[in-house]
Amino acid sequence: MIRALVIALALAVSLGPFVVLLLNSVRPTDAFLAPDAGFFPAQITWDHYRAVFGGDGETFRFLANSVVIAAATTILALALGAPAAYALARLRLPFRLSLIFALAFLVVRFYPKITVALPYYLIMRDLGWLDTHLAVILAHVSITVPFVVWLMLGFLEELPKEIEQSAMMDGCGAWGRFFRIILPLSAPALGAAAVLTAFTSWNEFLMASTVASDVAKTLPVRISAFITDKGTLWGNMAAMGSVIVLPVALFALLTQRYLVRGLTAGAVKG
Amino acid sequence: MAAITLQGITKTFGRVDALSALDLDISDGEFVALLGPSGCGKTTTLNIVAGLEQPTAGRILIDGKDVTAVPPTDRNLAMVFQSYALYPHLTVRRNIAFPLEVRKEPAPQIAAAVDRTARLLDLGACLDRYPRALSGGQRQRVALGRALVRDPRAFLLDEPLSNLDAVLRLQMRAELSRLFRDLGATALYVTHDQAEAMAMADRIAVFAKGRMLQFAAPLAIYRAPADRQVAAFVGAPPMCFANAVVTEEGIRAGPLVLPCRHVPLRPGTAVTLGLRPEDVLPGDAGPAMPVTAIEHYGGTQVLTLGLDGLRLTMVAPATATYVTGDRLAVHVEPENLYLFHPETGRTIIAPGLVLSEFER
Repeated sequence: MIRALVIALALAVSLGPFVVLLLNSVRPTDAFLAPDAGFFPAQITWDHYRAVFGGDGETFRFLANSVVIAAATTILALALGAPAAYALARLRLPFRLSLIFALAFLVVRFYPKITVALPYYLIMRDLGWLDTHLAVILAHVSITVPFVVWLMLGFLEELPKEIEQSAMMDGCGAWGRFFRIILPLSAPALGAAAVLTAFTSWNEFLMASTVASDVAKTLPVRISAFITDKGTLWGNMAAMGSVIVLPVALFALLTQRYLVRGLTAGAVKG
Repeated sequence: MAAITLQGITKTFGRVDALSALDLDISDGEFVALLGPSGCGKTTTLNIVAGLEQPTAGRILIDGKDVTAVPPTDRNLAMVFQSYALYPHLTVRRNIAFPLEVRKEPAPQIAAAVDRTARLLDLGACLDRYPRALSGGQRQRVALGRALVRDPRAFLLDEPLSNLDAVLRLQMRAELSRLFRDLGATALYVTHDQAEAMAMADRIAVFAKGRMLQFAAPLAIYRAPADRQVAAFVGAPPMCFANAVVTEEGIRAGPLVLPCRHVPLRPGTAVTLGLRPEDVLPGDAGPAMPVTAIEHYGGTQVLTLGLDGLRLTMVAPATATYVTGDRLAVHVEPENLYLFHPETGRTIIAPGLVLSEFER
């Protein structure tokens, strides 16, 4: 009984905002500020979705940007992070350099992103890359690579080393071992890393808003445009928010097996 | 196949000497067992030959060529791991084919080689299964197959039978012996099971605490051990030891005086006496020793005798009707006595040791 209560409470806390978001996206505009507006909207309207998707089709452009950037970020972060983790896990460098390098990746997660947002803007400006997909992708890769490295590192260190030694004896070089043995065996960890990387990129706001003003603008950045000088367009914001959340939620449901396995990788043997 | 030579191989982990100045000469086509308790350096030796570990000092030669700096990938040695280390994401067929696929051999050749190996090891029925769906014995054979499918310069086997149950282990022991003899293959075989080493090897290298104590043929190890440690490690049931003194009549250990062939020691000298259980026979003279324990093994039984602090074991025929508390006198043929230096443990006399060898 108590267990059920605790679960219900945890669900309410984590899902509550999401429910409010969905409800708000179908709440008529004039009901937002009404004093007697209940938790559930008295009337349901699809106006906000129509507003968001109608008109100039801008939303579809931002949606496409988000998809492209999330996909590119995921591919790049895995392509860089997985071999890096493999190297860190296997190389025997002097002076515990492997550990130092591994920790260096972690440092990126120690400070608030806002501290690098401005320098990053300046670098992109000097390179002439402002408002390009590349600028957003690079920022997202830099945020997600440390995460990929650490997730993979934890997983690779749990792989029995005899399997790789066996491949060595069979005549398989380092790259061969990586592609023939390590990658296939790491599929669960790679899957988890890919899913979490894609989510991070999909949801990221700060760096994207710093360097992407129009051409490379992503959905989360677009949301902030509903805060206008004539007031906040709550309904449109909620509709757009739902559009951002729903694919992620669906994707998470589909990949939850990988997610759980990847996140617990290293905790359990086998 | 190739000859393998280790010269002055030393391996230290931090301040611990895992191996010190090991010299080992393995001839082409020889089956050598590396025998010793866990932590004695035998697996380290194997890994150094494989190239999976680098020696702190010393050289490894394969067919006279220095390969110390050659990575394991390029040594063309095949290894069977204790844990089998099969590739879990590949079928048995692909597991066995792996060494050939890596070498980019043409597909028809690979298929033929895999079929030949599968037939040799009776794996034909499970070629398309994954390792997780195999029994322990089958996994073991797949690991062997992966080594046998190509033509390596030598086979390195790290306790390949230790994860099998007793019956299967004996069966595979015989099969492996026959297989490697037929191949005429150079093989290094790490084991802590002295019976395995005795039964399979052309020569046994006995290790303890990072040192090789003796390198000789199984019977030489058994009948002429280099020292007390080797004698204690080889033989089941194990040799019994007792503090003894050289006297004019023979070797005196507790209440027992055993006649001995010529002893190059003055009367009164302290020695350690070693007796193999099968050398202790019922006698008709001397003190009667009470039987303190009987272990029946079906085919034989092992009696423990104890008197005045002296403890002996002897092997008796299965049909013998001793009971605990029976007293019997024992007899040991003079040439079957083992004598060791009480401090250094070096062998003074052993059945297989020619005296002149000692006297020189």
